[in-house]
Amino acid sequence: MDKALLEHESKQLLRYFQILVLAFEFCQTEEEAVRAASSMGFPVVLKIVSPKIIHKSEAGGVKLNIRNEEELNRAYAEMMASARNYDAQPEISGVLVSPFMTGAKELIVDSVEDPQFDLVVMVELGGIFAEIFRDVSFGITFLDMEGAIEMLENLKTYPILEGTRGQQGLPVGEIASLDRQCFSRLISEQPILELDLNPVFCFPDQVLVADARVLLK
Amino acid sequence: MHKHELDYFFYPDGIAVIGASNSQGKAGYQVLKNLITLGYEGRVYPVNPKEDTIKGLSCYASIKDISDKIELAIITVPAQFVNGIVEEIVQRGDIKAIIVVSAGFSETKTEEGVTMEKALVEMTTKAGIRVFGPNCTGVINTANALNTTIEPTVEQVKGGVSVFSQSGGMAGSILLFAEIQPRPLGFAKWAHVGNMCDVDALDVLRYYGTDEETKIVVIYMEGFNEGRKLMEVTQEITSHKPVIILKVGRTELGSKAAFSHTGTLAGSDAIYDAAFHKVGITRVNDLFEMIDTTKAMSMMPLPKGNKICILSEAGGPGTMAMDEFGKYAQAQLAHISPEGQKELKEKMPSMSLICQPDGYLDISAAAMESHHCEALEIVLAESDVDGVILISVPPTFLPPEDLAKALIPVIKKSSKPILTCLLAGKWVAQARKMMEAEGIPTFDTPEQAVRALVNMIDRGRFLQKSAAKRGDE
Repeated sequence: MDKALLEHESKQLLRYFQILVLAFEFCQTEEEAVRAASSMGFPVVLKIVSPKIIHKSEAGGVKLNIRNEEELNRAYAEMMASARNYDAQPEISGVLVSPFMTGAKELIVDSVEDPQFDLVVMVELGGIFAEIFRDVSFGITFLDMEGAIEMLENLKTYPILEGTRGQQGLPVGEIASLDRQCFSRLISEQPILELDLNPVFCFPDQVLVADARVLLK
Repeated sequence: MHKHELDYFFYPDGIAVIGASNSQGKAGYQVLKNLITLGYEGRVYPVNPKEDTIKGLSCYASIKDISDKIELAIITVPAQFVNGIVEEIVQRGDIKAIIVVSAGFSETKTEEGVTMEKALVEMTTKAGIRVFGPNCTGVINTANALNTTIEPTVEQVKGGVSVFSQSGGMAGSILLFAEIQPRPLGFAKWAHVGNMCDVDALDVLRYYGTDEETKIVVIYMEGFNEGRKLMEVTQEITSHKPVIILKVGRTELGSKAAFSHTGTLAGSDAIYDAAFHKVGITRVNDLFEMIDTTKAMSMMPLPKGNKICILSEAGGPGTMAMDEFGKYAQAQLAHISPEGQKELKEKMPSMSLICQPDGYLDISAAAMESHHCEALEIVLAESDVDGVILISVPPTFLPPEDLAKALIPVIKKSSKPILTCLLAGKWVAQARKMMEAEGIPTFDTPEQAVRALVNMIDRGRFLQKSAAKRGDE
């Protein structure tokens, strides 16, 4: 049966693969969360961790821009309440605390098992317009670095990645390398069935996976 | 000569038609008729216990009675009799290839049909015999005028285009379309493999890839279950031959129809696009684009770059070409040098619009054949011009045939591709025929010429890119 890793487990696996992920701390109590946020520095993001809650935002399981301890306590309480609202037995494993970052261009890097082409890696424009533009590019067969860059070039929004109208460009090479990494992991690490990195934060100087879901076979 | 496994279908030494018939409504009649009336000179043996002679050939009661060597058997009898005949074929030992025209096997999706097909393949595999079908029309080979099909007969003009289709209807239609070009577009081989119980699309593709007669591969495809293999096989071919694929299933409705027709999932269209692009397949959207692109690629050299000059004698059709051209980011208008522009302004009729915008010429309806030729020569001499779209609507005072006669030598000596559109219909039919007879492709509409040229640009780029890649290694 398919087994979905929780967000922090998925991210640990990515780290093991030497893929850069946004800093995170998995906390099982409110006190732990407060401690993590203080040592990380505010503002932070709080996310629910539960095998039953896949779409965290829908369940009120994501709280952004938490600026201090007081806000964190309130966010924590609200999150637990709405999780129970969403599912009477939400099986909450804990919460994830991460630094709150703004100004990133968001991409989605994921994979599909295609009936004809087997494993295919996709890169898409993320963020609020993702659904409208559906700007997707696919990587098929063995994806070398050149193929991964070509895959990004095939995006309609590639000029945004490159930097347009005075905006700073993004590290295309690093994004491509992430795509390539994902692909080679999918092929070589047999237990991995599916990867869904959504969103991937792209800054001019770095690329960080902000949320991840890994499905094992 | 060592024969490739599929050579037994295309170059058989002895053919038996089992189920050959005198009644015109039967496939067994049509197959035999196509075999012996289209110029095929090899030995053909009709088999049918109920007939004495068919079309002047004496008929055999069973294939066991034929003492001469047979390499290809074509079976047209009803499904329930097929496996019995296959048994006899296996016993003979000389037959290397079977075309099962008969329907009623796995395509019916009934247990009986599926079981019969399985039993058939088991027998032939063990015996080392390759099978086309069931439910197929087989092959055409213009090199020896072989035609095993029941398709409407077309003029068999020899050429370098080889066709493969998952649909018999489309396979036939491609040829019918090729035939109605001003000069019928010549082809080399043609194959329809039906249920693909044994020989499948990949086998035929590989064969076309190594076949010396085949210069361009044209495919109609509904879906393919081994996408990666298709990529591997095509990659080997696209480096030296164009592979042009009309792949349907672009929309959900199309995918559903494809699934019910050939039982293959059409798959995500966007993934097909990406896969085709990756291995240099030229994907076309419809029959027109398929024939136009095939014609352009078989008659004209590829452009060295993506800079095109659009040269029109009429504003409207020129604008239509520009509008279509503007859709493709990979193609650009060429820059015409100040000297070139000056020369054009001096030599073209006074109403001409030269390079408005740069790379676009409207030489006006006052342009006579000499103007057409001069303008074409000037832009072809421009270093930035990689190819030309030439459009003309010859007015009453310029007989299209005169224009064609004047253009032919100019176009023929060019090393750059020139895609010509003379408008339109009957008025220019003879002129187009004259041009195509000289190996110059002509197109029905400006947009069709543009699309074909853009496909050539893509192909040129793919080849340059793969050459650069090979150079790196």
